[in-house]
Amino acid sequence: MAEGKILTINMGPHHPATHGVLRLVLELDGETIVKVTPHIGHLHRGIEKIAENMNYQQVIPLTDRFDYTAATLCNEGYCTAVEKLLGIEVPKRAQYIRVIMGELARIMGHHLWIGSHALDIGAMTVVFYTFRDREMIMNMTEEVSGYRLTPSYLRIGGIAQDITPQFIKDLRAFIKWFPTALEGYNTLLTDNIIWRKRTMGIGKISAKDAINYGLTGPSLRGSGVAYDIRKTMPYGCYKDFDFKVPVGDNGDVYDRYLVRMEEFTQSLNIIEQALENLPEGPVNVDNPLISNPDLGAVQEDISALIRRFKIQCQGPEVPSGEIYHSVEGSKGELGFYLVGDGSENPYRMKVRSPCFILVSALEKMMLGHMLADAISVIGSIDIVLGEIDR
Amino acid sequence: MTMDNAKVLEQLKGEFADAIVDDVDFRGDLTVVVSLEKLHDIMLYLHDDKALHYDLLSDVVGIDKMPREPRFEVAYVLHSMDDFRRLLVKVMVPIDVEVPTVTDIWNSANWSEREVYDLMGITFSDHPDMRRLLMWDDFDGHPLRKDFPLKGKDFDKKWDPSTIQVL
Amino acid sequence: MGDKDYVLNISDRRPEGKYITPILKGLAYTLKNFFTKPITIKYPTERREVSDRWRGLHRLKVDDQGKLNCVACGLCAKICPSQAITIVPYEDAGGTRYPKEFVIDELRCIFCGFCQEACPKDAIELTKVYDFVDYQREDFIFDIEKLKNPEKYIFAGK
Repeated sequence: MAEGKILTINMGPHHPATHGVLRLVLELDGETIVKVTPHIGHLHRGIEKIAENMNYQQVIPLTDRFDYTAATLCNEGYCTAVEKLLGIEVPKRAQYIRVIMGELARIMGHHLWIGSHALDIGAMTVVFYTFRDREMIMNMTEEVSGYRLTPSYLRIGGIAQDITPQFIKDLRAFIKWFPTALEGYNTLLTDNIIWRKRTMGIGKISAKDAINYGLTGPSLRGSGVAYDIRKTMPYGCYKDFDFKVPVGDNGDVYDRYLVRMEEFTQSLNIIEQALENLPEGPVNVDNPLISNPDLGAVQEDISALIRRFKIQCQGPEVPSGEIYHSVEGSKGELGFYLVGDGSENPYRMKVRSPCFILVSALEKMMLGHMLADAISVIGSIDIVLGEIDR
Repeated sequence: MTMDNAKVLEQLKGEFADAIVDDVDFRGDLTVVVSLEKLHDIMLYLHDDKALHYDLLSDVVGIDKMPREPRFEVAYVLHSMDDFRRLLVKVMVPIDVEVPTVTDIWNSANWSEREVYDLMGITFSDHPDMRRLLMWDDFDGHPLRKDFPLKGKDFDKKWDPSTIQVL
Repeated sequence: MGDKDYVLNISDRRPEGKYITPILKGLAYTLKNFFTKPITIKYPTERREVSDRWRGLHRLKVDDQGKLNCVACGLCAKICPSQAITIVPYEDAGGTRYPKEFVIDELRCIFCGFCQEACPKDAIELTKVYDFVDYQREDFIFDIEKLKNPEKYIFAGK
């Protein structure tokens, strides 16, 4: 190539390292990236528009399809947002089960992240071990909810069904096993010189820039800002648990890797505490306008039958008002802006997707690096296109 | 120094007394409705002021309240990384009126505003790159407007191969 | 920002030096796993047992006399997020309601389980059938007869 000429290449939408259908138009000077233009929208399904035409309960399976690697967290984000609009408090047991399932989903999301991230850079082995352990969590999710990837387990005002003894048995086995597995990932990656060369000093972003570009989650914490919604604006029962928020100093790919690796441990720690202190009691809120009456009552009692018809047809009675509620998703701040107008459908539901903002900051992180480093940067922010395009 | 909703509102009202149209404290979050003319000044103040210092713009939301005038609302979700406060700033926008961009204050507004433009059809003035984001470039209409049908305008139309343009 | 007690700074974990030994350790870890029992199964000759709550193909339950439990109230069709259920009710001479037609488009269905949760008569349930294949799209539109016995559609392999 002649001196000073710019080469434009297309990366994606079918490139395996873009984790879906992200298309990047990269302009290269030699092998150095000088301009990045992300093109998104290939997976746009119009979920926000569809949600406006459904009642509040029917939206729950749609939320599974945002971040399908950690679907329960999206369920949690939506359900807690509606509960905030309703102004109700979920029973303690349901909150604890939500925390357990949510943290399992976070571990599941991080499993996919580290597996595919390492695979993209060239360390193929890790993905087999992470998927082996991801399988255990999927089996547990299946045990309680009936589905593996898109569980739709949470309901407005509680959860679908109580957990089973088999689940608790499996979970204890997982808690016992997982530190060993984590040690294995560490053995394969943390000290490995090839991994370090490919990740250290790549995709640097300072704390000030990271905040200005709207980064959240592990990507922001890697730059040194301890913004974790579970700690800073606690929702549910996260106040009850003792856990740490890992932050890095350098804001490069390696620090984001370390932060997420520590989050495995912290999530496991939360699950352990939640399982030890799991309270007894109901798992659905005791409110005739919100909770679905159980089958026994419906077949005995005419008023319960009427109530079930009303709740299933119209969903819970949600007042008019506007709220913003966010939870800590596995990729960052997953926010829901809900506008209720007193009818059975959400008037407007806007999802603040963490990956959407992360992709807009890709250019900032990639400029000046080599083409091969683009893969590390994409891997390190852990994007899921289902959440970006919605 | 910790700031609560009342203090934030008090300080904001002290600075921009005539620009604060309305304020709502609903479920613990403060929403401030400001006038469109003063929006950029207020946002700049919210970002730069040492005590308020809302340095993270989480989201920009477009809302269509169709029969009402002014028709649109744009809500900004702000967070402060000092003590993790939240503030919602809202502005009423009549149809075909441009909103001043805040991309020069927060870079994260870039894509969020493009998304609002794409799906809701609200244009932001002085935005560096006001193109469609999620829909394709020659798409007709703005899908999240309330008068846009759920199934799309050309849902039943047969696809015409002669419309393909070879670049 | 960094003075909060819950913050854990991990940047001191960045390793320095160490070139060959970590790679050898990694190779040893892989070699050790080479001798463990495989966790994969040979589907479809081997099949794993799914949980009791599994949400697979639908079944319309029948009572002892072979009559459907369903009274065609339409609640499942109302709650279905993907509008996969179509019901045509019918009333016999005795005034009892039955579904004349009960059609589920299994290609539209997302298996969320809301129909089972909504049903006031316990008439519809999701079975453990998770793999069903056929040749035509029309074959996935299940009517009452097909829905009575979904186990017939388990993919048995060659």
